[in-house]
Amino acid sequence: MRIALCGNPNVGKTTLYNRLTRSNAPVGNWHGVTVDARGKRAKGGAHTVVDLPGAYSLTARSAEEGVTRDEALFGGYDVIAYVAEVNNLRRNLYMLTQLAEAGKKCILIVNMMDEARGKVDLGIISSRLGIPVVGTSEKRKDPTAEIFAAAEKARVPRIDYLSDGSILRLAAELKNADKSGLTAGFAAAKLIERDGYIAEKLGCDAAGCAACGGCNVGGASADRPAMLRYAYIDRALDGAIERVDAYKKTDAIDRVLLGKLALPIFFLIMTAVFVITFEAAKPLSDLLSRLIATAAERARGGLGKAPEWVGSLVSDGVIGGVGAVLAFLPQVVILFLLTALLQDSGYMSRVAFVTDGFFKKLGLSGRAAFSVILGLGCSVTAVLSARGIADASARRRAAFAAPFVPCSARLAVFTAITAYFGLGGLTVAAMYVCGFIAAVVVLKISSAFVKTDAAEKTILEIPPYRLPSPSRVARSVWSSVSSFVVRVGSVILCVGVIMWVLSNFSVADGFTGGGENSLMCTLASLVAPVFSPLGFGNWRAVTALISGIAAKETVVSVIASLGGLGEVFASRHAAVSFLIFTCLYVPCIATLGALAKENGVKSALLSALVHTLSAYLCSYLYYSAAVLIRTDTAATAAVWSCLAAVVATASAVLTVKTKKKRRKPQAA
Amino acid sequence: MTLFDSPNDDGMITAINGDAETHRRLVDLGLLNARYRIKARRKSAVCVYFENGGHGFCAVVEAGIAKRLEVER
Repeated sequence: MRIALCGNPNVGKTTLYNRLTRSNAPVGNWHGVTVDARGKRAKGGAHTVVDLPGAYSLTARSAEEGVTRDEALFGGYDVIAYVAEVNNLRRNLYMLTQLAEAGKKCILIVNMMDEARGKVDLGIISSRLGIPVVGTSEKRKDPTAEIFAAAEKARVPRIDYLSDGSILRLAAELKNADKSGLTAGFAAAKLIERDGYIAEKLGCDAAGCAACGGCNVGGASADRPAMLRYAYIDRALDGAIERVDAYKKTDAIDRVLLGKLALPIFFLIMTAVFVITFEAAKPLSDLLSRLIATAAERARGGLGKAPEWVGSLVSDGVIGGVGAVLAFLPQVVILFLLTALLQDSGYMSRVAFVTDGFFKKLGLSGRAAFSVILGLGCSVTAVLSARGIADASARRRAAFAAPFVPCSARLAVFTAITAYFGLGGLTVAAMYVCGFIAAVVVLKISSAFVKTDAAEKTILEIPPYRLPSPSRVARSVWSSVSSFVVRVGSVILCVGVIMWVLSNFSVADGFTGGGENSLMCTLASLVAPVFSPLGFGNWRAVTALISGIAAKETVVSVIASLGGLGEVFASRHAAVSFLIFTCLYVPCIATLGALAKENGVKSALLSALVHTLSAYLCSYLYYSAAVLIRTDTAATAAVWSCLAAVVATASAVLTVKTKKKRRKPQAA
Repeated sequence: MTLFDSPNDDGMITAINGDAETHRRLVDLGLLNARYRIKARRKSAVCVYFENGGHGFCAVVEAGIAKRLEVER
């Protein structure tokens, strides 16, 4: 059987999917984590399970909801396993009624049963809906067998309101609903609601069916199907659920965390996350580094009889390279742990509200905050999560700016360099601030040239606060950390070995042991002078930056295999300049690929250019302020004056453009 | 009086104005005739608890949407 997991956002579809198929798809206690359909063979191999993005209704308002609508209506699934959250059944069952109208065979999975605020009788709900109902939660036993057994008995939910006069009359008139793959009752209900997509599918005049004007559009009749659905749901749930208001207990917490100090509290929390990540993990990270260095020495000693290049490959290329990244595993674990705690508590879902005013000034809405937060883990996920933004140009802008937020791969680089040069946790936090400011600047500049409708056309649901569950948090951390370790063992190992070969061999002399006549040195030396004004104009630094285009973690592993940080940076200022460059320069290939898929190839190429230029500019500004101004004051003053003139001119242009934009509606 | 400018922190939503798309979306969410309680207000959005038929949920409502929800005490 092909089974689709369908339901509202945040009901646990992806967590269930991961259990049914032994997968590690990303989950999060907020909207917009799943943005595309993904399918896999379930445990046992007999069935295929497909996880669909969350949607509130089959009337799609965003790209991800469109995916769900099309898959549910036309995906040809044998069964739709409709997932609902036990504490939100009334609203969650709305889309199930639409699936019933469309004649889809369903089962109902009531999830998060362990968090039920009151008593729930699933037997009553099952008998009233006429379909199998399965109760699940993370703490209960594996529901796989129960869910598949229920799927064998799936039926079309028994609804009784399609005999309403208005729907019946229109359904009788529709001649081509079958040809469109729709039932007459469903098509009639959607036409009464003025659904343009369904009208187009039926070959109706979409503009005529969907056009409306003035207030209270559609009148009572357009709302009739929705009223009928909710009345049906109320009858189905009557007496089956004990009603409890869970939000009242946490009103006091929301008054503080969502009040006037909301934004400062948010920035304090995130700063604390980064500082704790660095400082708490430092002792363990140092210990790991020493162990890895010892392992590398012993490996070289143990391979004494083997050719010199073998010893160098194993010691420097493999152990040194991969080990340099693994040494920062404690930082990665702690960062994932802290963000998982914030996610699971329900606070991260409120970040959209906290930051909404801030993002509005950039022409976006608070929903863009999810891309920022997901970007702390991986830029690819951040780019893809922008699909949850309704407005197309706002979506493109958010996806374009998302890679500026430093990901966990860049964290490995930050911590390696700051630890070596004794720069402290605040330097790491400063890098995140740097990336965030760059994203803000890009958004601000693009808002002057691209018209966006930042206002969301809907509302953003947020879950109640809850105590983070140790098992849920542990699962989330394990999922993220294992992805990181697998990446280290695959991409980083491959890139590290390739870079070792290029850096230790020459065409004429074969194995050179990492000298100045290696292939990589010859190639990188051609480019190195470009980086001299930034303080790291040497072939080792350039080699590391080139390898970082494949995966940012390789910057650390390549530097380690080329002699270490002391060989690459002549001073702390050069190291900080390199940190800034790494923070901002071109995203990894996977991120550029995601951006090309979402915004087009031109956008991805523009992103690579903007990232590299901004990295160069910011590194130069820092290094010249820190060092050059002491050695060549006149030249540096000239460059700073030019830059100041450019910034002033750009600000003036932006200000004039913004004022013109504001004046236009008043003139109309 | 709308949800955004109402001086009261609780009441009932009596009508949903605006374009057909937004109207449909908000009706689908069960907001028509729902009772509400405001948890926090900002210039650009309000955080609101909605309850209908004995079941409730909390949501961030952007100012433009909040101004389309007519309310009474």
